[in-house]
Amino acid sequence: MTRVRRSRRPGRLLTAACATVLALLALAACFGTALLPGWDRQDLALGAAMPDATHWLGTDALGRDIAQLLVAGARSTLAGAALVALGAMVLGNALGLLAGYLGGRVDAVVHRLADLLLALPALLVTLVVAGIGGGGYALAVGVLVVLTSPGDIRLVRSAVREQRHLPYVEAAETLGLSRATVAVRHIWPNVLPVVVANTLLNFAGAVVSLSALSFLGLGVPPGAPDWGRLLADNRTLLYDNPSAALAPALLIVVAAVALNLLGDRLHEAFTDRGRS
Amino acid sequence: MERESGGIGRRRLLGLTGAGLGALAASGLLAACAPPRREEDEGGQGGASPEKVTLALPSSLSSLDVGRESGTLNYAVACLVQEGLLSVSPDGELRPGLAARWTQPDERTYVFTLRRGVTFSDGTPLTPDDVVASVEAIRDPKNTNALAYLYAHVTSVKVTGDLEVTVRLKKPDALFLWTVSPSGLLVSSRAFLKRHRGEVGTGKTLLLGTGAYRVTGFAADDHVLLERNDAWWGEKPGVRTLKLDFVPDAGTRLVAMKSGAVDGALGLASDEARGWESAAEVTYTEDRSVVALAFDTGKAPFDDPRVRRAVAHAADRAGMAEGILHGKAQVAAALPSPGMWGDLLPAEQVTAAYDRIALPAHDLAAARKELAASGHPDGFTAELHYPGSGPQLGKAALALAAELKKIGVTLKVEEITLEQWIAELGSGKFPLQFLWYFPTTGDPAELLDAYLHGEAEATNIARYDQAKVTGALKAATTETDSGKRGALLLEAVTEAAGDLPYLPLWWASTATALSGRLALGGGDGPFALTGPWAARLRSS
Repeated sequence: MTRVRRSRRPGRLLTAACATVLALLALAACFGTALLPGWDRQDLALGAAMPDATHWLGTDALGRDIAQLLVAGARSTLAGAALVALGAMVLGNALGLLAGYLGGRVDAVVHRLADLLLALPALLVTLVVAGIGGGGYALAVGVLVVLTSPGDIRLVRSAVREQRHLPYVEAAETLGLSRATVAVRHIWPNVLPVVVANTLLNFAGAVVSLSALSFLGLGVPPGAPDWGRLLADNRTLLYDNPSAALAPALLIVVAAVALNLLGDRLHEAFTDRGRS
Repeated sequence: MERESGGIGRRRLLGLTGAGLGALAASGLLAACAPPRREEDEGGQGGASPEKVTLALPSSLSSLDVGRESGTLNYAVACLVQEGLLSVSPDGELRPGLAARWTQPDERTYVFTLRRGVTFSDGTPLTPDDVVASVEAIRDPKNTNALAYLYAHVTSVKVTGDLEVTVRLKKPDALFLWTVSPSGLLVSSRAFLKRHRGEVGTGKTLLLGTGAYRVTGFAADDHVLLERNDAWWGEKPGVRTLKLDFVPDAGTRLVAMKSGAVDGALGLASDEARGWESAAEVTYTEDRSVVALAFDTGKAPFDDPRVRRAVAHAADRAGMAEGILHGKAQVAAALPSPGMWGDLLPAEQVTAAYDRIALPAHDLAAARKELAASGHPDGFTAELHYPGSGPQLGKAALALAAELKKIGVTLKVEEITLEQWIAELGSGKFPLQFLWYFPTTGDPAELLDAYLHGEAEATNIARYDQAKVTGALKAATTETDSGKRGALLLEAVTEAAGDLPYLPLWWASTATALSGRLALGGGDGPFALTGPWAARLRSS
């Protein structure tokens, strides 16, 4: 008993730390620009400067405060990634539920489609499409939604196939409930825990992917506060103000790691609960 | 920079605008191919030279032929291998090159006497016929040479003696001697040009010239390898093998330097060069390039002079030069930098005239006032695109956008590829554009004729047409007295400044970074890094 308690405490602490970090980042994404309306204030005469009491993380080449830019940049970085994760979840769940519950030709078509999409290198395809389409944040998010969804499709499809022959499903069908009702109101809630955990993992992947696109100039427009863009724009300032480039990079890593750890933890928790 | 069809003109000049671009600010690298005269080569006193040197260039080349790809780096490489009839000193003075001397019997005739005993790097002797063949190759419509437009007014090029070539023009041209300098003519042999017609400068054909080096290998977009030409008529270069690696990414370039993979880099932009100061000896040189905003004076909202003045008042040009370019640029008063005036006018006269040009100062209150009195009192939305190879232009655009936002003008800034940017120049689609020009000559008329001349429809991206300005420029074209010609050109500059078709932002510098063991001798100046520049590399 004691042994179990010791092994779980660090896990819980880590989970709490991740949740705290994500909560803070979420706050920054929601209220950052409102709390710091002067994030785009520039001081050309100051230019890139090292951290001091006024500018905790220094300034960029336009004399903008890096700390404020990072707070303001949480919105585009995290909101876009959240959209990708949620979009992929909706698309993946809808198709996975259809394929898993209906089976037959629908299953075959959806399954092959998912296989096809999984075979594509997501980031590479997004780069190509965004490049051809002239870049743009919305386009990048849209492409990533489509290319992230196959994982959800397969996951949900498998989970639904496990559920569809269980007694509670047969009972619902015997009662004459419609297929849609059975699928959405009876089966889906039972696969939801694993879906939530997977969405967090997708969220983490999307943070990295969108930041990479912005880094390459295919995401947000120039000057927009975005961690990937800040990293790209400020990498030439490594000798003037290293934190201008290192801080956004660190935030991307921290956000991705926190989301991954939390996703893992949720997955384990849901799995344990399912077993019990 | 790009291949031209037919007579060229617009695309060639627009290409040059971005030319430097190739990302470089290496225009300094460009033109001037003045071989160091033995007594002037101070760098030679530095000591023995390393046998092999590798340098990074900040852009890629797909062809070594400047007639096909006319970027500054193409010239930087080609000038090591080929030479013009005239060369250019580091400070922009025309000097003897392959031609030991020249005369001008009348306004439309030039007679060049070639240097005796010059051979190509394959051992064959240079003859006047090779010069004629080189000009013919440029003028040959089948070669679609980007420099062909320079020879549009040439009537004939003939061999008139054992070492003599005579060129006749249709009309007087004050800039003609620059045409036969390396910026317009790099001589090769008739046999080579005939053997590789239309294919000069590829990885298979390479280049043939009389210069300090010969090309031994070229992988497009990767590197070029050069070996010393021991038969060169100038002072023997110290470096035997020179490898130029094309490294477009700034971060990769610096890592290559720090890891010892390269011994230095040429053509670094000012905002990048700061990072090199801890890894190499960095030298900044004014490169005569200019960055300006071009307002389409024929298109709303910039057809309204008050709107142009409002934008000018919103632009913090001093802040851009100081903050974005780390003080390694000069706030520009006009398109041609003071260094472009060379021998035309005394420097004091140019400086005094530039001081009298009263461009709108950074003043948001004045900007608001001008906008309120304009035909767009409630503001407007405009786009400003910049090439990815010019991040400093992007920063300037963002700085301007932030200021314009305060007076109710929305400026959408977008990064596009270099090719897209060149295609957009003068297309008329965007009434506000960046002008980023790297001159190839040391004469202000190169810029003024292209951008202020009312009849230069192909290059005048502001569509500026003012009779007095165009008249002065026309008169300057045929004026043979350099003082009078300079005065006419200066009159055009000052007259146009009041109309503000362009808002000059800064005159830039280019940086050369070399490891502690190397030094580039031969004097300083806008053309210091050009010509057979590698021949001046010495151990420090």
